[in-house]
Amino acid sequence: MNELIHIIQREYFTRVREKSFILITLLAPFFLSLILLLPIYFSQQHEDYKELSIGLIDNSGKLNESLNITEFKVNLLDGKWVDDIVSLINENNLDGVVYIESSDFSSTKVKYFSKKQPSIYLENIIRTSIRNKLLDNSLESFGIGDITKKISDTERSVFLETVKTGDAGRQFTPYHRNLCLLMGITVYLVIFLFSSQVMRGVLEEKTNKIIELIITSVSPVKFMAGKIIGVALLGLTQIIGWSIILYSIATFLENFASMSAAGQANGFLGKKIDPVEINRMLANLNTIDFNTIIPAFIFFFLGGYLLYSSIFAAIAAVLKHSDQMNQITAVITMPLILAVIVLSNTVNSPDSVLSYWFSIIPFTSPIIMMGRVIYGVPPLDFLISALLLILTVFVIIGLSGKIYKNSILHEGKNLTLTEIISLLKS
Amino acid sequence: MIEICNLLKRYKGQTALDNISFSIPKGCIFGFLGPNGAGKTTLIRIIAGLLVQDAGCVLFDEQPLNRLNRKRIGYLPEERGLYKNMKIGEQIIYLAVFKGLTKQDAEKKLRQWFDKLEIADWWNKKPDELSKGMQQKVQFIVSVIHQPDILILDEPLSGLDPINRETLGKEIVEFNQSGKTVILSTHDMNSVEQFCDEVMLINKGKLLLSGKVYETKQNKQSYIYEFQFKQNNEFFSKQCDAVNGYIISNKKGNYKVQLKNEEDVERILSNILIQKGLTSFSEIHPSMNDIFIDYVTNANQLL
Repeated sequence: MNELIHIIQREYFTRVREKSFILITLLAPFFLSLILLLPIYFSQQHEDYKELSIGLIDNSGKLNESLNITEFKVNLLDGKWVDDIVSLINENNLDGVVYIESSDFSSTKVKYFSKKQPSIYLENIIRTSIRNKLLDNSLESFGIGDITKKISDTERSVFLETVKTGDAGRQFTPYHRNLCLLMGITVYLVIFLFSSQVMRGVLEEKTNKIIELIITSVSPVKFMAGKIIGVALLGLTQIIGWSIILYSIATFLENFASMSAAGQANGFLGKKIDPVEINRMLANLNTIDFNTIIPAFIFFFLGGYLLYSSIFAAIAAVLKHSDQMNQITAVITMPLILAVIVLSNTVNSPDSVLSYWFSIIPFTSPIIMMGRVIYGVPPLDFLISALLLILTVFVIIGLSGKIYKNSILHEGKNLTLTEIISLLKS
Repeated sequence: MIEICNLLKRYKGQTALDNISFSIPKGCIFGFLGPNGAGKTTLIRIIAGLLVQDAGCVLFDEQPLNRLNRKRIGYLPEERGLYKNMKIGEQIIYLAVFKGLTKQDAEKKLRQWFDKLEIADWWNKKPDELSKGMQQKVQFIVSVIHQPDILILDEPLSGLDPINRETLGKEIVEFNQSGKTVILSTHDMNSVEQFCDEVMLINKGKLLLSGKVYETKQNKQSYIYEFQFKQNNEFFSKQCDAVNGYIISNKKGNYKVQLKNEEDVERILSNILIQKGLTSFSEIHPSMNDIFIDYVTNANQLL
């Protein structure tokens, strides 16, 4: 027992002190927050258009008045075609000029001159407002004017909220979809990351012969177990670190939003952010059941990690060189990659047949069941998946331990598959 | 102290050790000799407890090997390395704890070793910062820090410069003089002559010889003799020709001669003793190198 603790301590502490580990633990939550916050930040960027001043030259004679665009003003300029559009822009201190070249029943040709490359958003506004104006004008000629206002007055927005009846009427937002994808991919990443750490460790000890020193006094299976547990603790440390940092960021944002609402905050990244947006995001996050999701995440990380790391440990014991490692890793992690692909289906229909089976099969269940848990799963599904995973983990650890024990001292040419199978039988 | 009886080990139809028996007395430096692939590493691994034999036994103070008495073994594998991401001090302590030392004991003993070898400033270094010779010193400390009764060294001096060789060689002898047994596996016949009290020689899994180095040399008579005269001696050359002897070399009266048997020597000696000018006479015993090549070549011819 003391030996096991001794092994776990080394595996854990040598890795937890590594700079790369500390950096990933600290930085990953910030990147994640940026991914969530940047869309809000960019949506605020449209405010810039209010300060634009754009001129209009109408060669077709169909408009002949200023466009009323909510975002910015477009003033009708005198004259028809101007030869020197550049000096016109410069003299009137304009940001750009909309030039309507010609217009007939079927199409209208418009050119937009500007100092800067216009954004797609700006192009859209210009196009739709000209289109609406022309539509308005022609409808007016039939006696039904101001049609766009009338349409918008009569329009009724429909908000669709999905409620799953079997699940105590829980509501789902796009945040559930994002979180499903995010958690599924994160489970994949941590399983892969820490399993390959085990693999590299085994390979290092095999290459530098330290394994020969150690297993003269400790049984190989105990040593392998110590290594796997040590790295599992490392993984848990990272996950807990991430959770704490993410929770702190969320708390900070909550405070920031309320301060911002009171007019005390100076903005984020030099721009003002609408506190309503942040509050809406936080409110959405609150609809998610983190009390279930976090334990589930830890369970599926541990299950998947134990499964794959013991396979990796056995393979590293069989391998002779590290250059063979990458190829074999790719083959072994195929089910994981397949699961990530299936995840895109799970995001949209968590209860589909495909998602169901992938969430039951132990080699893919850590990812897919994690994704389904976000939406809530029937307890029976979860139970079958979890039990099957635990059972498979025990079987695989047993087999891997056997291969590890019998091949860690192997030298010379690589073992063939039949030789490995005969190791299992021995 | 270590008794190896009828040891048999097979790998996939190949016999790595074929019914090997010999004993290693307590307190000696015992050489394991043999060409590459002879079975030395297999034998070492069975003694160290890394492999299990198919038949036969290894007795350790008349007890079979078990996990407990294996902690009395210190082992330095061939082509060894160290953990890259651990400081030197830390990793020696880590490995020493497996051998039954407490962390505190291991640290105390390690400080003593570092002071003795004058390498105290290596404690916080990583292996990448040390040269190969320096790393080898560290690995040697790993194998002896728990003061084992038996030390197994697989090519401990290979790749070392003369100074490091001298230092490590001294440590091996010192360790042995404290009454401990050392098993030395090597291809370097000079270190066999320098260190070993006893040797055994295996080839293709079969034991060719085992015994004391001195006796082995005595038993292997070469009939090469050295005669030292004050100057060139024509009479001596004629005497050699008379018994069909072959003069290997002659350097200003120092003759090396290959004869056929002991009677020829006696005849030459009785004849030339009448003459004056012979200052010394001695029989040249074969070196361990000669014995190694001779035995292995003969064994391979018989196969």
